[in-house]
Amino acid sequence: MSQSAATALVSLQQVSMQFDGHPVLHAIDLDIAAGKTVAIIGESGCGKTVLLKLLIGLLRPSVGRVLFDGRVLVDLPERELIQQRLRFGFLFQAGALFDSLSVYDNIAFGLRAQKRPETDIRDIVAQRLREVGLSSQVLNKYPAELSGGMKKRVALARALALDPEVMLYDEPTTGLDPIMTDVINELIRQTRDSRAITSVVVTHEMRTVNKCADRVVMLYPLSRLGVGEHQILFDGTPEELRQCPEPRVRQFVQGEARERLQELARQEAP
Amino acid sequence: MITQGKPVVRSLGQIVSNVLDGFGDMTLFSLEVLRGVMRGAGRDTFLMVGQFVGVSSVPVVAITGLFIGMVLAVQAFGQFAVLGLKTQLSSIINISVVRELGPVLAATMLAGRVGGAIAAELASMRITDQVDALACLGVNPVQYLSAPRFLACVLLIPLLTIFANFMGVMGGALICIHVYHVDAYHYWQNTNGQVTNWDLITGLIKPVCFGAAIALISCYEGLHSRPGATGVGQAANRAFVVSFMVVLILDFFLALLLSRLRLHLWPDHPDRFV
Repeated sequence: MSQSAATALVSLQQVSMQFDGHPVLHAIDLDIAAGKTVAIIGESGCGKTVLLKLLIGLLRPSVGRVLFDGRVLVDLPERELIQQRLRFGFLFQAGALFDSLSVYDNIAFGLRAQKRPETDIRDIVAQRLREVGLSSQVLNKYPAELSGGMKKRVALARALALDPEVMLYDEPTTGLDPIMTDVINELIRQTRDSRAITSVVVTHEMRTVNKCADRVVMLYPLSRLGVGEHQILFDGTPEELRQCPEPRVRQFVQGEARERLQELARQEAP
Repeated sequence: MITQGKPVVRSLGQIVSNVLDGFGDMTLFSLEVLRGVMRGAGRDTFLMVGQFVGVSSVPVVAITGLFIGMVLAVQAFGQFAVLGLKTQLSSIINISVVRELGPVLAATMLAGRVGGAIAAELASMRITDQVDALACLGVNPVQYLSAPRFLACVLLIPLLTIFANFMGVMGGALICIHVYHVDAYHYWQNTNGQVTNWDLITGLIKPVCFGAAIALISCYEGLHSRPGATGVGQAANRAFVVSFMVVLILDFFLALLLSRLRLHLWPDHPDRFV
């Protein structure tokens, strides 16, 4: 084990992942230190969300291992796995709020599963709701009655209710207007600053990267990689990302299609 | 995946491998659900699930039962009337309803109504990451979601079957007594003489097994659905089709097993020729 792996809170070691024979991640080595905010960027389909689910043990890697606090999560007995997972908070892309439960019950869900007293739960729900800038008027509403931004904030409140040590954000600003995008970015930053929390943010948004990240890792789709190339195309600070000379990184950062349209058309052609 | 041998052998091998794989997967899933039941997983949702499985299914089951009995009466009356055995109609109608048609047709209706809905609901939860969210919040999703649905089906489908049987008996009596003017006293006397406690008990053992099968298959299909709206539709469809086939197969083997058991317990019973 390398020294960085030894000090890392989360560590991926030679991790590969495939679904039905279709490879998504290949030989990924990544160490995430405690207290840092790491942004994972890359084109759609490059395996960012899969990587996030590997970190929390929702998926078992096809090859390699994922360590959290020095232990392989997916090999733990069920009871212990659940305890370790509670050290994570996960903000899903579409919120993943439970449709049949009210906002209050959604935020309280994890606390009730831990059999916390209802008086404590009420206080924690109210506090988390304030932290994400929502009023108590939404408590009795159901997810279907909320806007996209409100759903994300309720989902963030739910993820933070159990005071996680690691927050995982899966495209937290996708589908939101610019103002709400900035609200969510601010909340990610506030969460990072107000508690000693490690964050991994999967995003396409360069504003999120610039505002929240200490470190940026860029993944590239396996299908477009050259022979012998590593899937992690960039690993550095946001400042270094802006100055990176690698054309594919620059193309992504600047959001330019360039020859990609013709390339996609060629792929689609019979 | 099998990659060696001739193509035909390889395909056959792959099919056998997939079937065995499916059986193994389903067995592990069923054991996980049973563990959840033992632990009382998802008990906070049991009333809600029970309301959907039980109370909301009453009209469907009532109509199914009623019309089974009425149709049986209409079909059988002509044959029995020719032989002058109109008062014997009750035995054929009520034994058919209580032993076979009530449990099987109620289970078929419930496989569609309850099984399809369970699969679609769980599949929607899966594709919108709600199942993963449960895991992240310290809950075993398979146990939490499947255990209350399993319990509700195992406990309430037999009750619904009793109701379907009752409605079937009433439907048959309604047609025979009020439409074909069969003597009511003899009609019920014959029922009393022919429909035994054993028929009632077997009519209750079957729906317990059907309920367990419907719940396990529907939860499995829902929690293993493919992504997208198509995946949800396919999960609901497969839940119904597989449940329906399993109900019929189970019915055959249970009928065989229970008649053997009856012969074992009462060797002189007329069912000895089965």
